[in-house]
Amino acid sequence: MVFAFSSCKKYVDAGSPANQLTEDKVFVDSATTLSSVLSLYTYYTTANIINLNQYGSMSADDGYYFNNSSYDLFRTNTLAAGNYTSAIYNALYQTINLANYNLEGLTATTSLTTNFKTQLLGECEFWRAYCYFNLLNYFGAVPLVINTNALTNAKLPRTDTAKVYDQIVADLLDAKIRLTATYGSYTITEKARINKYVVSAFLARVYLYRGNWTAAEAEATSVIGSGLFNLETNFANVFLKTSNETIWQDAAPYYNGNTGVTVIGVTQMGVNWIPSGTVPLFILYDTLASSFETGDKRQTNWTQPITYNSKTYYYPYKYKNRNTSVTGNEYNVMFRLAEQYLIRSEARARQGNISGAQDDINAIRTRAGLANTPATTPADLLTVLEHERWVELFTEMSDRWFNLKRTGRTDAVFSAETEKKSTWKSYQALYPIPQPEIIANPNMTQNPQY
Amino acid sequence: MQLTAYGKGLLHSIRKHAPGDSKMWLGMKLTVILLLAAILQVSAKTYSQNITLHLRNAPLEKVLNEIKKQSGFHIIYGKGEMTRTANVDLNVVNVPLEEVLSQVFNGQPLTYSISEKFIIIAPRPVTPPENIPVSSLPPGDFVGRVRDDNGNSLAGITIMVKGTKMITATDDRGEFTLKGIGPNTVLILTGVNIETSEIAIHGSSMLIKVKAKTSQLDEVQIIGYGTTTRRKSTGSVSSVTSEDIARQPVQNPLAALEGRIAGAVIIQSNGLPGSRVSMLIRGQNSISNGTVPLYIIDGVPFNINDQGVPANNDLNSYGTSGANGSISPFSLINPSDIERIDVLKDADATAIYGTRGSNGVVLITTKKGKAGKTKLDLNVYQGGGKISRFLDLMSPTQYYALRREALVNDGLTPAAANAPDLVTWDTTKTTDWQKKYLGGTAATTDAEATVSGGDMRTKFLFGAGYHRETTVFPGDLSDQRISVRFNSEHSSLDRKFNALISVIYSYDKSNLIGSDLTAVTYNLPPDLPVYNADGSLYWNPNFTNPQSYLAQKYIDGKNNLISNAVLRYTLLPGLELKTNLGFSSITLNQNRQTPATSQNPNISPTNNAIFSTMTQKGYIAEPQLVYNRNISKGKLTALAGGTWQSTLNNTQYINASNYSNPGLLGTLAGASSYSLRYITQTLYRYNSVFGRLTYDWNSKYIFNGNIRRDGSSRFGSGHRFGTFGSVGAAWIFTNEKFIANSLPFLSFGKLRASYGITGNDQVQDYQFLPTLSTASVASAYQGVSVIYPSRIANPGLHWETNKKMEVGLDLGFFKDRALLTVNYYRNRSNNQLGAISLAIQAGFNSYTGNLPALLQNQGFEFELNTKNIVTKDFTWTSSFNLTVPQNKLLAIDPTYFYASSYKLGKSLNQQWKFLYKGVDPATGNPLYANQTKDTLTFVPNYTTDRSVIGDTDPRFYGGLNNTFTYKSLELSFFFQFTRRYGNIYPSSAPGILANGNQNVYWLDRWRHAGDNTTHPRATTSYSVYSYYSSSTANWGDNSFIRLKNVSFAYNLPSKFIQRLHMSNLRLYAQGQNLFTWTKNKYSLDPETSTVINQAPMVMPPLRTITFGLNCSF
Repeated sequence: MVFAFSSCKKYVDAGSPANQLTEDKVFVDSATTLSSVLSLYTYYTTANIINLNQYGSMSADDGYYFNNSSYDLFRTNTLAAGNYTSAIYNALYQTINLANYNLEGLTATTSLTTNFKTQLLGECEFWRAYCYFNLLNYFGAVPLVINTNALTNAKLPRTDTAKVYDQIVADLLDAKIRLTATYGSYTITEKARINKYVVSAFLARVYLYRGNWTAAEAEATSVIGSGLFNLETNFANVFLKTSNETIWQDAAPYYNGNTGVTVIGVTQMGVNWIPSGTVPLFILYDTLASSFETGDKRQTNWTQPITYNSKTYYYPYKYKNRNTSVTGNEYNVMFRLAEQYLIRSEARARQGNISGAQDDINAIRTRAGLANTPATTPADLLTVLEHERWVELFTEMSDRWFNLKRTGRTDAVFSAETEKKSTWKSYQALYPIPQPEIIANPNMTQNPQY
Repeated sequence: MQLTAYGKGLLHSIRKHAPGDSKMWLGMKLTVILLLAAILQVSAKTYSQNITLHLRNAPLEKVLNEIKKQSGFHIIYGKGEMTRTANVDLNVVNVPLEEVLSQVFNGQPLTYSISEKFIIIAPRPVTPPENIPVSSLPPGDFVGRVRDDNGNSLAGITIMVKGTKMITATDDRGEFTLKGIGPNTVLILTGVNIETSEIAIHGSSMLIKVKAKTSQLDEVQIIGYGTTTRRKSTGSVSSVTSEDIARQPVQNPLAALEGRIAGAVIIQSNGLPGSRVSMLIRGQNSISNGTVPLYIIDGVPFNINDQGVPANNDLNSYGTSGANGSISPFSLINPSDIERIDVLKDADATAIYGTRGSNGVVLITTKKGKAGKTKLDLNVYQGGGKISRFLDLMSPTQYYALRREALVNDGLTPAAANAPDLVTWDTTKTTDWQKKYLGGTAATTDAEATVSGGDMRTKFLFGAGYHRETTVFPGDLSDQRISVRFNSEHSSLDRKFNALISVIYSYDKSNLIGSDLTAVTYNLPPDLPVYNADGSLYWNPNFTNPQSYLAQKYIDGKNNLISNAVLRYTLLPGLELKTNLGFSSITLNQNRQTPATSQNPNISPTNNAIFSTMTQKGYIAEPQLVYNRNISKGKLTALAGGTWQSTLNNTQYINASNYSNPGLLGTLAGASSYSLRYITQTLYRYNSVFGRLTYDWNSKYIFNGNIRRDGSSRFGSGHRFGTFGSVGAAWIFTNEKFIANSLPFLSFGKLRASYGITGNDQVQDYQFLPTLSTASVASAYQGVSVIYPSRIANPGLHWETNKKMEVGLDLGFFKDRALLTVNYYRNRSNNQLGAISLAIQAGFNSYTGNLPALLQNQGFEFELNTKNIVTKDFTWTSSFNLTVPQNKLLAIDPTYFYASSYKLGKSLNQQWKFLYKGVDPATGNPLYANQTKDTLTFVPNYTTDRSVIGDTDPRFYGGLNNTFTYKSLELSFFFQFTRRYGNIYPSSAPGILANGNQNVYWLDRWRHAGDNTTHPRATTSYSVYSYYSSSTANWGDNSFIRLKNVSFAYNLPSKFIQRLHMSNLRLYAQGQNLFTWTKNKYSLDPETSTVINQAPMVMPPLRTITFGLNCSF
């Protein structure tokens, strides 16, 4: 009887589908494992990089979509719960889940060589940290999910910001140990995978956000001093996939959801922002367009005028390729050396190292064709840095939005901004948690005043 | 008869007013009146001029005189016949004449018969008159002839000699011979159509009369793993037999069931051969998963779980499709192979199918060889089909006026760019597109040949069939099916062992085009040119050139094999071991071709093709033990068995492109590139044990219990096995003396009830497994393809449960001449499988699981079968069914991902619509109620301004069949009816070039400021009509009555056919979908338009008329 029952049980176990992968078949050889880990770079990332670039740009005072009512909620900082923020929230958490999934699979497997496994573990840790950093800066405290127990994780409440940062730093420190200077593979020279210096560059940023000036300076120094990266003197090269300045670029292809077209080497920023005809698509705030110093090469190289209905607008022109019919030469720039100079400069200024801070600002200004900074006090240097960051890193990875919030300058800046002053409210510094999350998770709370 | 005449008058008046007249519902009334007439006819012809008499010890003559007075019947008797009669006690109130006579003549030396208005009295014969010697033979040998009540010879009757193992059967003259039998022998006669009887024989030969089973109550009904009769059944079963199927010239046997099964909605998705015929038994019991019944052909499951979401029964869910869309596996089944179809509905009938029983079970039994003379049957028919009704579109002049007006309304001037139809094209050269592309005749040819025969121990049948159907489209398009079947049954000498082997094989080939031209051609502008001056196809960016569709070929080939063996061995008296073994295989190969020349040259088209294949192979093994024993006054039947079932499904879909030569589109070799769109392989395993216990006490109280324990590979390791069961009971109350005496007109009465639990496992395979997908978006990173987890593992995933409750009443009136069944059912399904919401922080926004969502389907079903008139030459029989269903959502868990689309207390098919409030007289724009309902708006809010305005469920549906025979002529006609609402208008935004010609509906449109019209203005802008199609403007009555089938047959006289050495020759004419009366004037067919709940243009079921010949040798 017992035998009969167990044989019945066996009979109705149809195994796993012969032509579909199940989880038990992933971490058994290096090829499928690599396929699994690389999904971090492309699957959710493909659609999300444009959001990381555009949301912060619109919410701050970088740029916005011309005549597009759905995105005006960002420009006027009037997002409500349920508006447009789920795209980025979802993609970040889905990427975190991929990172957790791969971390668990890699940790458990015994089928892979140690070096291969160690490198991939480092990449996954970096990705998890990177996603949490963005979540914290868009949404404030969020639930910290570090495993794949989906049903339990779905009910987790928010975790204190400090604790999430602790996890970010822990992951990054671990990743830094695991990774080398190699970008994933010796055979591919593209800087499209996470290596040791990407981790350091990110750590420099995280320490800056945490006010750990010495550590921020040290990490930035390790990147600047590595000798692997240089500030491109030819502005046309900065956003090319061959750029010397890039620390990390994501090679996720351009994907058009409507047509199904996928092209490598073309960015969403190029396609979505560069106008194809006479109508502007995405334009810079007037305050930004007019705040370049005379002779700033960044103005002439990274912005372009377009005249529409007798008015001249400027659009960002960092990415220059919008042709989706052939393979292009631009990847999504995630980290570049200029930011490391700006991080170190601020870290030095905060520590009272005036000349060091000046040197770093001047490295950037010299490249832009500008004279050295006249600022000589930490406070003046910080003011200069705020502006220098803006004109250097505008429309890149929400840099302005995050930094104004970090330095507590949002109210001051946006109350003076023509486009925003009538609608800006302090609570809008945090995006609303997407409404479905509040409904699906009884332990989740909405951000104040939404 | 007067009533019938009234009915005819009504019919006439309906024809005059229909279609679309407000008096259409007269048709419904007609149904009721015809029915009423039928009942009245029944009572008239059973001589039930009721008698009321109170007499004590009265002479028979006096009694008869009283009866004569009350009934008006003449009574004829011979002189002196009244002398030896006994006096009579009679106390009857309003009792039918025949009942009274039978009571009066009980025990009298006289007998009576009724003919016309006469009661004829004759002496009662003293010896059994049936059993008279016919000849003399050597002692010990016996010759018998078996006749029925009407004197017809009965072939194939089994004769057993009681107490011995001797057995024989009658030949086709109804005769049999037994050698070496002793005196005082008793014979037992059994047969399918006779009541089993025991006869003591005298002498060496006899004419033996047996009683034919006349009551439909005693016809065999097939149920799960056994048989029963309508008389003894405790469950709810509706059946259709080969007789009804043979009257209908259909390609798909399921299409022959439309309107004939109470509780089942059967809809053919379009009128092209091979298309899906869906069947929904007792409503939609699953919110998001399959609602397909379990189909079983000769014991072998034919339920293709096509892995669709929800599961359907299509062959090409993972393939491409041609003009006919979804392909029904039943298009591979030859309807004339089928002996009967039994539809099991309630828990009592379906619980024995466990996890597969929730949506009902359809048991299909094929024809088997019968003992008797070797017989050759031939059947040939041929005919044609056409669309029965075209849409009433605007004339060219009306169309041009509409377009001009639209441009004027929008402040535009007609120019080549915005109005080529007015400016560029030749407005004098117009085409009636419906006529040109849909106006053809579809030819149907069908030929069948069957050889069958055998003796008591071995029977066989071999048959072959050919069916060919073309389409109404231009071109040589057709669907052809060749089918063969073989079955043979053999019993051992001692009859302990019996084996039945059966094989059905069919091959079907379709040569169609890629698209249903109905949808794409009917509304083209009348002056659209097809060719350029140079003979090449004309192209305009707004339209696809209709001629191009004809160049896009679709070819498929399908195979179906169903084989099974049933082996039986009687272990002990009453105990039988039986095993059903089956193997089935079904394959589909498709090729869809799109030559470059059939595409718009402006988009630089290439020659492309699609190749897809599907193969499904399965086996089933079901050993069973059956035990029969009489206990006390009752009969106990016990069944125990097990099932091992396995099905392997493979599909493959290849896109091939850039052929240099369009002639090579049928091959993969000619393509310069091809890509695999998908390849799937699924294995389904199913295992269970089941049992049934039936106890029938004195044919009065019947108890039936079923139990089944199921395991299915579709579910998580923790929940593979589950137990299902039911209890059913029946009380045949007319077998109680007190009821039989007080209600003599009631010949049969049974009250039954059942309750039980079944399951639904129609989800995709492997849903519980954590599978990985290859990214569809940006599928590679630096040249390495990427994979990611596509769902969360859910080892707790299990079936949906359906608790079914039923109470039924079966009544027979006037010696079962009228049989009525009334059922009330209530199904409550729960544990709905669906997407359960998760906070995205878990990595997924939902996962597949079971969630509390209680869905109720309840309803009443009525089935009435009557023999209205039965005389020697003329008979009239009717059958009627009516179902009044209701679907209601009782509870839904808010974590269900789509919970917000449903409303508690409403049907799943409830419709959210904007409330259309007519036309703004100033602007001609449509207006809708806004959320306060008292103000109107042109731009309503999707979230707040819609409300539930009804649902698309049928309110009631059914069918009425009448069959008349007069001597050798037979006429049968069948009406199908449904009352339901749905979307009715095929289009909106009249005046847009791409929308083409419009229904005359739009003639009543707003034209000038101040006009008060029902329809808004003509425009070239879609935005004016943004909400129109999803408003109540598009909602209306989709009810219909259809004269679904008329069949007329003539059986040639036997004298004539005997000269041709035939036993039967029949000529017939049949018509299908002859007339449809409906209020919905705006679609080609009200039934197919509700299939996908819009008003799409699909090829409607054709009006088909065929002529045929059937003969037997």
